[in-house]
This record gives sequence, C-alpha cells and structure tokens, in this order.
Amino acid sequence: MKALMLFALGALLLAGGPVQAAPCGDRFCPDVNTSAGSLTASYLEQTPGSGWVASNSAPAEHPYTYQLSDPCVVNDRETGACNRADYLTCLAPPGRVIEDLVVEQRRLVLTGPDGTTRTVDDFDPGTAPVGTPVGPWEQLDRACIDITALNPAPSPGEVFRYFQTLPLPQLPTKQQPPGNGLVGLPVIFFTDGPTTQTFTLDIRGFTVDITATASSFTWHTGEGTDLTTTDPGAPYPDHTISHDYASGTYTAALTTTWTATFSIDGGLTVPVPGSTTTEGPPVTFDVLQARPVLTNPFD
Amino acid sequence: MTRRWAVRLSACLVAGAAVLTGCSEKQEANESLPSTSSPTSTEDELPPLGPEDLPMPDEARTQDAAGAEAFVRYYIELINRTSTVMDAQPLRDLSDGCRDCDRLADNTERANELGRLYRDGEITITDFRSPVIDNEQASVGITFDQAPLVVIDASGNPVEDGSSDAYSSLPGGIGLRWDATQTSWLITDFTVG
Repeated sequence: MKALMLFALGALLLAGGPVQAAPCGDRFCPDVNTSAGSLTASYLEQTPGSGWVASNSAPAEHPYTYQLSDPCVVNDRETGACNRADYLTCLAPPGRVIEDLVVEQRRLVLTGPDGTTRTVDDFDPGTAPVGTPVGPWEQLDRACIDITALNPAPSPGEVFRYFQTLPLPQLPTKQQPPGNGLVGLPVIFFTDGPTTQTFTLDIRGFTVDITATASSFTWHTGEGTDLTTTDPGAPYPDHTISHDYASGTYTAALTTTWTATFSIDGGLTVPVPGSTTTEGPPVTFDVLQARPVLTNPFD
Repeated sequence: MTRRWAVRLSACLVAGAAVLTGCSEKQEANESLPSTSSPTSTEDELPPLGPEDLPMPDEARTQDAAGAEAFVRYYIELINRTSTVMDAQPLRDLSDGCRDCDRLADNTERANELGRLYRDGEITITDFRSPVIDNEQASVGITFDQAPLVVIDASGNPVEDGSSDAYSSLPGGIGLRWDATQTSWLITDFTVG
C-alpha cells in the first residue's frame, strides 16, 4: 500500500478546541474572539529536547493566552490560497500529537499594584477584569507544537495516516474468457471484490468512522499498457473493460486506488485528504492464435 | 556728479510712482494663510492611499502613536463608508491578514454582488487608549458602539441576512504593522471581545 497524496488541511476545524463563530451580521460581532479552525491554549513553553508544548495548565498570572492555527488556515485568510509549503509533517513519537502550527498570542489582564490591573507591556486594559484577554492577536512563530495535552480531535492528516494502515481489500483481476484468450477476441477484465469498506477506529479516545471507496482502477494488461477506469468492470455481456492482445503469455494485475470519508464521534462527514492504493494478485494467461484447419467431418 | 544725482532722483521717483500706483489699485485679499507644512517639492508628497472620496490623511502616515491612532480612526471611517459606497477594496488594501477586516470586505462584496445596500451600522469610537508601539508593530485598544445595520435588497426591502442589532461598548483590540514602502500602517488584527 502506498500513499499518493497528503494534504494537511484545516485539520483543527474538526477538533474539540475551536470556538465557532456565532451568527452575526455583516459587521462586527461581540464575543467572537477565536478564529475558526484554531485551537486555544493557555500555556506554551519550549522545553529542552522536546520543542514547543502547548497545554491548558498555565502558571498563575501568565501574561498571554494562545491560539494555534493550521498554516493553511492562516495562509488562506491572508492570501486566499494555500501552497505546498503549508503541507509539512512533524515527527511525532507514538502517542503524541505534534502538528505544524502558527502561534498567535493575546495579552491577559494581570493584577496590578493597589488593586489596579495591568498587562505585561503596559497595554491599557481599560476596565477589563483580571484574566480577560485584551488587545489584538499577535502572530508569533510557526513551529511543530506538541498539542497532546489539548486532546484535539484527530486531524484529517492524522486520520489519513491511519487510513494508510487499514487492511483494504486487494481486489483480484478477473478475465474472460477464462483460461486462454484468442487473438482477435478481446479479453474482458473486471473485479468482483468489495469496492466499499467501512472501518471504525479508536484514535486517542475518539471514535472515527472511515468509509473507504475504490474510486479508480488501473488495469495493467501485461503488455506495457495500462487501462484506468472508475468502475470495476463487469463480466460479459455487461463488460466495460476489454483489451486486444497479440498472441503470447501475459500477466495482468489490478491496482486499486482508495479514497475515503470520515466522521468523528458521529459528526460531520468529510473527505480524508489523500488516497492510498492496493495491489491485487496478478493473473497469467495465454493468448493463442486461432488458425482455420480443414477437417473431414466424416473422419 | 550732477548727472549721478539726477539718475538717482529719477529712479526714486519711478519707484515711488510704482508703489503709489500699486497701492491705489484694488486687489483681492488672500483668504488663506501661507502653510508652513505644505511640501516644497513633489518629492515630499506621499503617494495617495485610500479612495479618492476618502483619502488617507497625512497624520495617519507617521510611525508613532499619533499616526497609529489617526490610522485606526481612518480605517473605521472606511468601514463606515461602505454604508454609502459598497466598496470594500480600501479595507482589503490596508489589511495585512486581518481576518475580521477581510470578513467585512467579503460580506460587503457578497452583498454588492446580490445588489444589496447597507444602511446605518455606523461604528463610533467611544474610548481610545494610548497605542503601544513596539518597533514596527502597534497595539491599539478601543471601545466602540455599532449602530444597527440594515441590509437592503435590490427591491429596497430590508433582509435579515447580514443585518444586525446595535451593540454598545464593544471592546476592540487592533493590531497594526508599519509598512515603510507605503509609508502607512496596515491593520493585522481587529479582535472584538
């Protein structure tokens, strides 16, 4: 099985952390302070050897709160498009969730002297009480950040990694006529294996339902040409895939490309961002040249 | 010697006559005072920014707290301008990844494509706190009111989609970045709440 594509899309949109924008009019709305597609964290620290780690366990009077966004989400809102540089994969040890994220921070109101309030850099907090975020979000670095402690729902990229490991069917190649073929008589190909499979996984406590579908079939004819179809073919007389051979011995095989959708805890069903393939067992057959022979029917 | 005195006397008389003649002719008074800040050459003029009907004032184009404040007030005026002109391009031009600013621009353009207009919705700053300047970044805290916004469809009827109630005393946090190439601030964030 091999991966064809990996698109690390707005993974966090589906996560448990984001605050969805409340319905509002065409201008400003109150109480919408986290962008869609982002995680929030109350603490972010750089640990020796472990890189950046985000959590919701901040020490008292920590001066900032944080917002972690997929680079694609940030880039999209700035330029209207994502680019290849947005698709990076962070190395994560087993059991850890480490994502490539853009960090933004926002000041928190702190306790000042004599019952007053303050912020870390003397930004005037106005009348906001202690602990309230004030001022604008400020964009910091982009980095691989360990967000395991935030317990985010599996991202599409993470689901894709699981998808690649699923035991998808290796669809067999069926050909007609069975056994040897004849020159001038097209060989019909089809497969009779299941083209849809459903899997239920437990990813870090989240129930993830994946429905895999065979979306593309590449028939390797064995003589150097491939036929690509979107249907699995059918036997005669409903056949849709056939190939003319010269005489010889051929080994044909089928590569099936699988795409999938998934849902987390029964939520919205969305595409898995990528596809994977399976290789079916090959079949070998001879194609014979038929020649007319005069025979005496009375012999 | 006599000749030299005669030349001098003639010159004085001519000059005196010219002065007297000038004083006796009616001249329109200049109603404007000479400006000490007017540019002395075209090289000193900043390239204009903003729409022609609401250009960015020069005081918003300085890299200091006063400039940041003037820029924020100007940007609010650009938002309010969409209540009379469905033109969001200036909001985009002066946005540097400001998601809420871009959302407002998106909304305005979508409404315009549907033939809709905005009525009211004016934003009024009620409190402006001193900007914090950190090199090329500025953080601005404001409090503002927003009048009810009414979206009018192509038939002149109000529609619910996009309209909103009045909000008062909304806290706003605005991030700015100085763009030296344009000699202007750009807005990077406008967080409400």
